[in-house]
Amino acid sequence: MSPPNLRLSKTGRFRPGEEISPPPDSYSLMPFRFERLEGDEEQVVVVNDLGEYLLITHEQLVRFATGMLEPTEPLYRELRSHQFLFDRESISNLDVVVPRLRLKKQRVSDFTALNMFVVTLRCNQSCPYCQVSRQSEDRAQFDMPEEVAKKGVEFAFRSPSPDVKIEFQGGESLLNFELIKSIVIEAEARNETERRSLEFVAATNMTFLTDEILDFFREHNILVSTSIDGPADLHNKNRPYKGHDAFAEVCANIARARSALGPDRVAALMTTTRSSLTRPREIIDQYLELGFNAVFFRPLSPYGFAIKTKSFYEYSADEFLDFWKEGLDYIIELNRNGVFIIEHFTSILLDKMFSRRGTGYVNLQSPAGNGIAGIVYNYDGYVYASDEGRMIAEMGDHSLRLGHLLRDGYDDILGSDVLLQMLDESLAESSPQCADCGFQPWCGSDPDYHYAMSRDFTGHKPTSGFCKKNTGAFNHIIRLMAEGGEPARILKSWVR
Amino acid sequence: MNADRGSVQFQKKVYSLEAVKKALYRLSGRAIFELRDTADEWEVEFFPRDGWSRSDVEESLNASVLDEDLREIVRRETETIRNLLLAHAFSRADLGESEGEDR
Repeated sequence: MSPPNLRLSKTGRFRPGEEISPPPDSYSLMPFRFERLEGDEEQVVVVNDLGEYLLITHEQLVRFATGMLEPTEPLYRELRSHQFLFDRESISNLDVVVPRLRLKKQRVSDFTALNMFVVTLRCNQSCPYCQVSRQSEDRAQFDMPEEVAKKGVEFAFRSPSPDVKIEFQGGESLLNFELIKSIVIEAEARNETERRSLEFVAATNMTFLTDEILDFFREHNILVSTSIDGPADLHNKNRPYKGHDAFAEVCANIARARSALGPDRVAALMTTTRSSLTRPREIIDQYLELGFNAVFFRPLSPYGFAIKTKSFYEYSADEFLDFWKEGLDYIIELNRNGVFIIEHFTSILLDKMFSRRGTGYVNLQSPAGNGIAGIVYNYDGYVYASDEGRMIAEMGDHSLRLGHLLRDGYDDILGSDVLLQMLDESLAESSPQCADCGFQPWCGSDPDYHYAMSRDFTGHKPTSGFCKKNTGAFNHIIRLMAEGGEPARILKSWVR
Repeated sequence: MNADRGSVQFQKKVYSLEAVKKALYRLSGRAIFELRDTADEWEVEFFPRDGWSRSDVEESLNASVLDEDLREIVRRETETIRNLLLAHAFSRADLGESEGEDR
């Protein structure tokens, strides 16, 4: 392997490639991390920087890490083929590792792709877990002005990303449909010369879906994303709509939207509340009944009304994991019986574990996806690095504002002190415990969550619900994959 | 916090201070720790939090310090190759100029 084309630091830190070649009849370790498996601490998961993993015993780990493995052992061959060690025979494999490492971090250099426009804060529903401060329908001063929207479109195209995804958020986004139209038309006009991969998504509760809106969405290929929290009683309890049956209306409009836009142009998400915890099977059955082949088990987050109404504290990370595991077991059972449905939280984790490119899910990125993967233009012109950041602002804490579209330039906003601090302090590669964690190649950071919980972007991982949820999920998936058979095959089939 | 406190000692010639501290940090959700430096040992006194017994914490602590020691070995053994691979992987990235580097 030829030495890389480097600028050598004054310390001579980077040594020529020939100096790393292991002696004959020996092997060298490739960078890796490890964790004992929860519930069976003699089993150890070893994970390398490419995200590949093996499950071995602690005794095998010690022998491997201290250079005691024999080349004739099956474990030796397995570790070598999965890039955990190299010897004189396999040193050329290092050339394979390099592009894969680069690919893992490709998204960082692509930069901001997701642009969320909060076109209005007005909403007609009163969800207790709402992550924004809602306003009643008739308060028009909470709509985004046209000049702010136009500036937002200009800002979105300043990113070098080959993809520009524009997502309309609220409140209830369709309450400001006129502005949505303006933004779409403006973005498409710019894209005539920009030639990016341009996508639009409208997040909506589906209660204001007129034929005019559907016609426009069809013409401009806009995807619709809505919320279904489960069966009617659960959905209506979580998402009350005064004087209306919210569930019945959203179901009827899902059908209308599918008819107008196409069956795969309507997606649904659910938010897990305490009421959901005992009903994962019913939620999944409801999604199937409505014709969805994917469900996303999303935990509550500590923002906006979720904290104001104490909904957030309704369950722990362990309770959420129990809910998710039961739901996943049921989904695997359904798949075994020929019913295709996936669970998105699981598929995102599987992409991180098995896909070479990983996933764009912002909470599983390091550096965090805040600002550099997704960005939010609030109705009032303030810019935030994430949807959670603007939710925290709605609670009265404006520390996470990056700037204002009408007053600050692109460089000032993306180079703001708060954004750089957020990314720096939440970097998993250098955060306490995360830096050494076996799951770090798969995990990410959530500076907003930790800021909301402890006013600290790094967080205290030994007690972090974010950490507990992710490590619990990784452990469970590893166990399922280790058991093999149909469940493992089904999970692997979800990897993109 | 339960009142069942315990203590564990780690020999300095076997385990580094960094390994012990990292293990304590990892387990800080399970117990409150006090770390003392004696002549030949790192002495850890702990007070288990609710839901954790003294034996749970003691067992976890011993395993965790052993693991942190092993992580030190792995880090040391792989530092060169990791730096080399990362540098090679991103050698074509236009990351801007850094102070103190040769041209």
